[in-house]
Amino acid sequence: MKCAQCQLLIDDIGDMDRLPSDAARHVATCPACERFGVDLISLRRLLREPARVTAPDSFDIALARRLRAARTAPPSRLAILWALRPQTSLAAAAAFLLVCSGALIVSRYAVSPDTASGPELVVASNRPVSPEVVRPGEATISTPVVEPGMVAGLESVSSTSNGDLRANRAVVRTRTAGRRVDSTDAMLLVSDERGSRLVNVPGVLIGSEMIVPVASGDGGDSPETVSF
Amino acid sequence: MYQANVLQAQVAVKSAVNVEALSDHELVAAARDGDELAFQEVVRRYRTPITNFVYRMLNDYEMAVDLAQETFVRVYTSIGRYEANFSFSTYIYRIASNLAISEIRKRKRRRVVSFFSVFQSDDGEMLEHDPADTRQLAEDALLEDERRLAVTKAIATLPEKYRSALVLRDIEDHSYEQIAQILDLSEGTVKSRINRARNLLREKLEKFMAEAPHRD
Repeated sequence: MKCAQCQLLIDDIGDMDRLPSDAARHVATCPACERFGVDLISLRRLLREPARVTAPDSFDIALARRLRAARTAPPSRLAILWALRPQTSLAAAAAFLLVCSGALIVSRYAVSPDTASGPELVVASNRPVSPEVVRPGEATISTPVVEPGMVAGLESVSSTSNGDLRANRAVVRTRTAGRRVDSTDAMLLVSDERGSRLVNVPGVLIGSEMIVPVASGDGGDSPETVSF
Repeated sequence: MYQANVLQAQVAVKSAVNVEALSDHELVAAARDGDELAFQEVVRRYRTPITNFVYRMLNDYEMAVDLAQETFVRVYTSIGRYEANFSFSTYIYRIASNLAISEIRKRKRRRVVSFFSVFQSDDGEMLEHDPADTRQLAEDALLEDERRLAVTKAIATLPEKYRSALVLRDIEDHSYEQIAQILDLSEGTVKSRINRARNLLREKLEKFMAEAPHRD
């Protein structure tokens, strides 16, 4: 008998004393198989030592309640779809994927009149804005972001400094969904020791290179104290 | 009236006896035709094995009971689609195994720090916690507790793909063929995963291997 066969028998029977005679003879002359058997049986004993748990007495009652709920619940749309013939289901799934892909492409690349002339995002900070806050080339700006659906993409970031104050000017493509943004509005991401927050400042001349914050709301009551 | 009640009770008893004699496939066929007694018998046969299996996968009794019930709900709601290509046992264990694996993955993703985190393994799974007992415990009882905790922790730290195969083989005593069907893998892959799991456990439990109690 070969070792592989013998070990398979030991694994199946799980008891060295109940092996067939040819396997027992092999084990008697093969230290590797003997070791395998002893180790396996010892491991199994250990694994089976914690007592088996049983279902609680309330199992059937709770299950009956869940089954009643499952019976009365309306079938999910997916279940209805899969209940149809496979060809129909596959066709429906393919159409669904096609529509999703199309919507994804449109939402990512299509530029509506609003977004084409959309506002700019001005990031003002008295510290250099860390790369994890504003990272050019990404589809969205990572945290902190207010209304994440509004920002469709970040096109460029430029930076000017004035003493220990730094103004970062970011040009973003925006979506109008969720919030109306006027072209004369600017969004400020103010970062200071109180943390970062996005504030809406009306009337800022967009596109001006003279955007330099003279205060960053330090000690102010609200972010709206930021001025230019 | 009395006679009618007796007759009804006799029919019920006879029916109950009958379902006990039916095979799993026959029960499922009867349940599919709306026989509630048949489905009750399926539940009676499998509630404890499934609860125990999920418990050994998750080491969380409440969740094991919850997922065992969910397993039966899924069996019930999809009973019309069940095909007797392989045994019902394989079918129900496959559902339970998928639910348990899904729960393990959810827990890994969550990894929240909670009050119970002190009783969690590195994988974020619950470990058995026995509240402190003020009574004087015998030394062998302490050792036994230590051993059980070590075994529980060792199983909980196994990667899920090894764990399900090992639990099915070395704790639930399923054949390699059944495990391959339950996990939808080849027998070769199952053997290799079990072998790997055993090696990992041997490393973790080396200290306890020699002293494992004999139950024969």
